[in-house]
Amino acid sequence: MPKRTKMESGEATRPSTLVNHALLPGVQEREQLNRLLRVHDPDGDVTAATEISARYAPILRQIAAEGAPAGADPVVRKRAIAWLGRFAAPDDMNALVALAQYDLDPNIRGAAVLSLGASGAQLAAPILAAALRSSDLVESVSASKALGALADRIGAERVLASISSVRDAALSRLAKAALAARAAKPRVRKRSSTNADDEGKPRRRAKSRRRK
Amino acid sequence: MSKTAVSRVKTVRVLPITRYSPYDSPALDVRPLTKHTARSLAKASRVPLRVASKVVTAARRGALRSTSHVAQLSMQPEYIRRIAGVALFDGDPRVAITDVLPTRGRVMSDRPFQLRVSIASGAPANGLVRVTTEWAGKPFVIERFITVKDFSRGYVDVPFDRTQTLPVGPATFEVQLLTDAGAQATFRVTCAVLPSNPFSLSISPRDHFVTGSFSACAVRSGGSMVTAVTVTLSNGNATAVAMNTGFTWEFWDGPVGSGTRVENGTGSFPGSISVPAFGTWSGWVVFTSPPGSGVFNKLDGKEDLALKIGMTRASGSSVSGEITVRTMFRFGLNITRVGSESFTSLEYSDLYAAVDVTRTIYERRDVTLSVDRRHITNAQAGGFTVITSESEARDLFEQWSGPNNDFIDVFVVPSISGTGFDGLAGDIPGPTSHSGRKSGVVVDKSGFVDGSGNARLNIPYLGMLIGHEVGHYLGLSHVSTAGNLMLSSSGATDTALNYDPQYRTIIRHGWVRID
Repeated sequence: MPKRTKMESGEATRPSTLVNHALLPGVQEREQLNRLLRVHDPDGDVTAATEISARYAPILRQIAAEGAPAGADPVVRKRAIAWLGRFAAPDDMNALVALAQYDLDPNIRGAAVLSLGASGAQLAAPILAAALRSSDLVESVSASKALGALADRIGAERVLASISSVRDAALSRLAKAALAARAAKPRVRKRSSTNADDEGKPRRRAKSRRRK
Repeated sequence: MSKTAVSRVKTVRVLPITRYSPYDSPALDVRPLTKHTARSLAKASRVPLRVASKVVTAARRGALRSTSHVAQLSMQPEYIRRIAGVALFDGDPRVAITDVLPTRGRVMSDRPFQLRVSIASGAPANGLVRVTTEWAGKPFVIERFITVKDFSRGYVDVPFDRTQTLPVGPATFEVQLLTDAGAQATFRVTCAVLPSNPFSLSISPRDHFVTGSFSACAVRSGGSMVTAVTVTLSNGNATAVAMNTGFTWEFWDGPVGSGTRVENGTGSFPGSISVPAFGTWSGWVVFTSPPGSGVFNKLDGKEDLALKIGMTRASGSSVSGEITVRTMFRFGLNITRVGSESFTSLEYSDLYAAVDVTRTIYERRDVTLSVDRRHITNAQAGGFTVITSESEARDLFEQWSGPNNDFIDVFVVPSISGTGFDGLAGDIPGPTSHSGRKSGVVVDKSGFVDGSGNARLNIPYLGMLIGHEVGHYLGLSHVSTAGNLMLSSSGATDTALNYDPQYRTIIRHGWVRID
């Protein structure tokens, strides 16, 4: 191994100015949740699972609702959304439905759709099916997976029955096709990605796609 | 005898001194809905005036407290989304930081200053503002309480006293607003700290935005050693400074002036140079050192060199700066976009800006990286565009790891959702083969829609996340040291790597080599 002359530098420092956080319990709680929601790897989620409970639901709903105006961390928002689907209390479900339909960010709408699917709520089925029509890849793939997860929980027939109640034949057909496709498992085989030099430029799409 | 030569020079476009980094947050036009007029709401949200008018009228009646209430006004979902992106409803628990600027318009070196943080809320509450400063030294934090009154005024000033002044160079301020009601907003802004004395020249590594200074990397290219640096001139005076375009350079073995001068020469930047009043100017210089040259021989022997570059003002006085140049250990990354057509052109450039952040993180610890840009199309990717389990992530490794170039596969997927992770490394350390269910790392692209409706990636966070997962692949486990990249829940500002054991672990991985 080569010898290097300098590996650890004596970095300059400046003193920090900190306030007493004990005076702001709401801030402390939020920061604790931020840490739990930002774990990167599957092993960290085990810790989070033991510490996050339904008592955090109000603040989780708040985190889930913070979008562009708050400069919110999309990863933390998506994680909060996943937890709301696990609690699945009425306020949580209402929050998820609002996010699935009205959040500006298709990544968040997709996360809300997945969370609704995981909740096992039959009434969510038409909202999941509607998201299949999205031109956004994340939202439509999430909808397809969410319908599959819901069908695993309550059965495909109940899912389709719920969707047919909105009397949109095309939507029912779309949902049926999505559930059928999920049953056909992809064949596992080794494939190779393509070097970027071999492709055209990524398409221009400055604005977020609108769900049709 | 072979000699080192200046092989390329270029003038670089610099950003305004109070928005000095391409990764800074844009100023936002976000305010409580009741403070919007129909016209301002229409402009900010890009909805038709008649729609904005209907919303503002309803808001003044006190009828709008959430998106569900707006939906009752019967309008397209897209309009509701856009309005919620720029307006805070009555009682809305969300808070926003709309801008951060130095109160005097600039930050001067070694002088106290204060930042004005502009804030908005639909339901003001007591809380705190925290500013984490990334600069040439260790990051430090300044906090101050805020009250409901601050929200009414619309801003809060955060003072940096005489013990918290900054030296010349870029400084990034990561600002958080937290309220006792549990709300949070974040904002990031970078300032070029200008010299009080009042003129300086600094040298930094090329190709990535640098807060602080660290070593420049010499790389092998076509048998030669190539060293690329950025030269920045900073002017803290109220008048522009004209410069001569020529410069001198010297490579030293040991400290400049007291060591041994290995090679020296001259070069020239194109065009004319005028450093604006209270502004900066930057240019790139690339040195090529062929085999047999003094610089090549030193770097080939893994010795560090000091590089000094000097320039002169048109008025005659000179200015110079220095940086350490060294060869570095290197690994490669196959950056693979999964569902490539779903990445917009902005997201595509954000992704590679994030990879530059990853490179900066590792080069601070004298390890560099190469990149192979790859992609998997939407049709090929299928369900892999949204990863919902660890098993699915490992299916992705098993099916798509490669090519056999001894690079680490980094799969950047549009979303990891419904799981407890946003990244996954195949193993710690990862294998030195492209087969099986452990070869690769996967990360969520960290996509979001900004206030203008643009699909973007969270560049500082994604750069850190790629660095974190690659760190696992190179053998690093989680740590609990504040500010370290390998914290289990590291944020965008947690980017430090230590020498022992982290650097020493990384360089032992079978896919890490030295130039």
